[in-house]
Amino acid sequence: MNDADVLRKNISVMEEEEIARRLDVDMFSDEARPIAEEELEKKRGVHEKTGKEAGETVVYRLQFTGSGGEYFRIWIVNLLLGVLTLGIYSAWAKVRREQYFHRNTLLDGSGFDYHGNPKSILKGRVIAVAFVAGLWLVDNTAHAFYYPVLLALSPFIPWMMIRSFIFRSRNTSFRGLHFDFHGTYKGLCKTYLAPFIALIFLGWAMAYVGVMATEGRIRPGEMSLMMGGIFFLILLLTPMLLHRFKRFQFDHLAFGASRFESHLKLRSFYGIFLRAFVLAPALIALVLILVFGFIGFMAAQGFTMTGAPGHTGRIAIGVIVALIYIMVVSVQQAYFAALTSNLVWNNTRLDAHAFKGDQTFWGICGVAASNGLFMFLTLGLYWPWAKVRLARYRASHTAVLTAGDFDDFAAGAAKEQSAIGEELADIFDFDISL
Amino acid sequence: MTLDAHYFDGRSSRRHSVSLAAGEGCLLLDSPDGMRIIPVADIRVSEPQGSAPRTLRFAGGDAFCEAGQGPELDALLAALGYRNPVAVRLQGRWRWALICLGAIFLTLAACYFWGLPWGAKVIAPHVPVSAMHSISETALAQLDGSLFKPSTLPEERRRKLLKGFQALAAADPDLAPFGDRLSLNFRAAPRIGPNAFAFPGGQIVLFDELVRLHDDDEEIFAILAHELGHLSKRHGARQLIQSSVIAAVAAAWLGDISYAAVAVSTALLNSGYSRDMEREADDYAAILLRRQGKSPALLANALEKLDRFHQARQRGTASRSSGTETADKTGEKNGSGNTASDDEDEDGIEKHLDWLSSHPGTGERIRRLRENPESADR
Repeated sequence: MNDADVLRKNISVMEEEEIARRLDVDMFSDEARPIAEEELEKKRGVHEKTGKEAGETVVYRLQFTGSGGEYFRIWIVNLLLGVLTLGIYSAWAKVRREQYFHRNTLLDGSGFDYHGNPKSILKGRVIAVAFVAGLWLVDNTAHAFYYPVLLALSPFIPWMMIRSFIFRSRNTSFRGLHFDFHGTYKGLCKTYLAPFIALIFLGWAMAYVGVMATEGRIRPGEMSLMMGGIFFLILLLTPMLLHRFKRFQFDHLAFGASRFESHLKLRSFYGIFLRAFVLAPALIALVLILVFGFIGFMAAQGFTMTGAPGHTGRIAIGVIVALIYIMVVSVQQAYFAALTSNLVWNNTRLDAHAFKGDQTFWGICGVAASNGLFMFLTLGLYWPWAKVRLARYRASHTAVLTAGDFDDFAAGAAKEQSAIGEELADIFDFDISL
Repeated sequence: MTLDAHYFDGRSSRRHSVSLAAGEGCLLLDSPDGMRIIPVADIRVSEPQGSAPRTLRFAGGDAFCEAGQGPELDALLAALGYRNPVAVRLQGRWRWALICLGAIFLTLAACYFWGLPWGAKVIAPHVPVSAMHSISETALAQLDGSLFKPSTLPEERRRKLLKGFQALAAADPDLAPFGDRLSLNFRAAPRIGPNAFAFPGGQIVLFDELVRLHDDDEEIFAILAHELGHLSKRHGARQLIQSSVIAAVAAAWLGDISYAAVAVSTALLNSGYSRDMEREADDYAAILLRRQGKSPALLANALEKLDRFHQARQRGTASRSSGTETADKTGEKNGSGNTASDDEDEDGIEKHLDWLSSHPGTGERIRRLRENPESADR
């Protein structure tokens, strides 16, 4: 019996859930991982077959086959070419990156694909950079015009978002069919404008209260009351904004000629925020208690030996605090994204097919916290591994539930689309996750 | 030799099982519907992406084949005469990846140490003084409302200092673009202590505490010459350009980790530049002083006094010194530099962290000014 056989034997005796969990937290060695993935597929395949024969719903899980080492090499080579060409190559690098993540995401054995044209991405980036540089110049040379200019440009923001959705979906394909996006400028404004303006107004109100407080026109007690009130309103409004955003995004998404349909309830978005903002603070509180316990311990040690905590001790404490901060932030971000993704997929249909998202808090914790730790320790060089691990976790916790197979979709009419919108959106940091 | 693959026609999502084989300058596609012959020129092969299946796209339509990787596919592609692009071949090997990593660090280091300072130096004189002036006015107004208090110096003393300052400024033609935006502002700042700031828009702020510390006006003029150096060399605009570029690069590199990491690394990298600028301002002050027939040692004396004062204060009220540091940082953010006297006692850790601080060690600066005044005349 050779090594591979031994590995296979050891893995095959594990439960399906156990293999999935170990894959999530990257516990397998490079040789063992493919075997584990194969075994997992086999075990799941047994379920699927029994389902198929009985005419029941079959669950096809997404599978991510990329590896951190592979993606690191792609990333670093493209980064160098990008630096040497003063950023021009970055458009080609982006296509390579997208293709790596799309093509390595498999559903029922077939990969997704990305078709973005590097030249249109470059064009979009040039315009985006000019846009930001222009704003920067106005801000720094003629500050009085900054807000009027921003206001004058604001009608373009919904346009950019639409273009970005269209570019991204039309350039994504599966089994030869392209996705598409049918949202319109008017539609986006109608669904998004009112809460957005309200949010901007609340932000402005917050700044105004701040100014009044520094000028001494209101008492600190009054200020905290007002700030609290405004903050509460913002908290009430943000889930609404996300709800409308996601509904708009998924109600207008199409695969070939078939349209996605989402049934997202506002209530569930409040649920997400409650979980992310109650669970996460609880976690942070726990972490802080541990940190201060540790600092107290260090300080006590320092006092007994030298009279006061030494500089080395102070630096050590600083590093530990920074590390924990980064881990907490990583987990919170990933957990929030996971909750949103679960919610959206569990309430979306495509013809007779449904979806399932089952990412969990502890699963995300395992992946994201260690990602944050290694990113910190390697000064960011761990990034490709972090990205791949998160993609693997997300893929393996997203599934399509289908009564048959994926043979019956037909193509819609597709057109070439410019990348300008997407690149601008990239810079302004909109979350566009399909 | 044939290869099993899937064929998609691009019109529906139906998956057809086909087998592929290489012919003379063409691909043979065998399906239940019959055999198709596709010339090599009409085939676009996808780059290898790890272990993901590869695609072979055919010209004129969305049709393509998807085939799993393996020796059969490699043999087929070799027979079709397909070669991977250079970037893909680089990506395939760890050795090349590590060489690329080294090259990136060398390039970034070269940009940091030479490229960016050079570029900023070229661009800075073209940044309009008026723009910097309005930013500085805002910053000064903010500080006036918080840290700065009105000066209590006698009118006569102020007039005398102002006159000397104007004579000093007139000695450098490079200061001409500032015109009447160049101003000397008297303030008191008990929480900061003896110090002076130059705002990039031309406003120089002199604290009563500094005037009181130096009975010799010549030493005060030496410090003002240092501050004029920040203005003449356009350190404000240069810092703005450099820190913007560094912040952008840091955000691209570390933005995924956290914004705090971006802010910390930006601050660390910027501090290296500020130290060079302090040295440059010292050299400038030395030249300006000599041009007026004075000795650069005046600045050295002034720095020494400041250093002694701050050391004494630190020893006296070690617990309160952190407040002083915060105050200095505020000024640093808005202005282009202060005279720096609060830093680096000879305490071990401070020495260790020299690269963290915005000013070079005072001891080193004093030595530079005293020992080798000629070098300052470049």
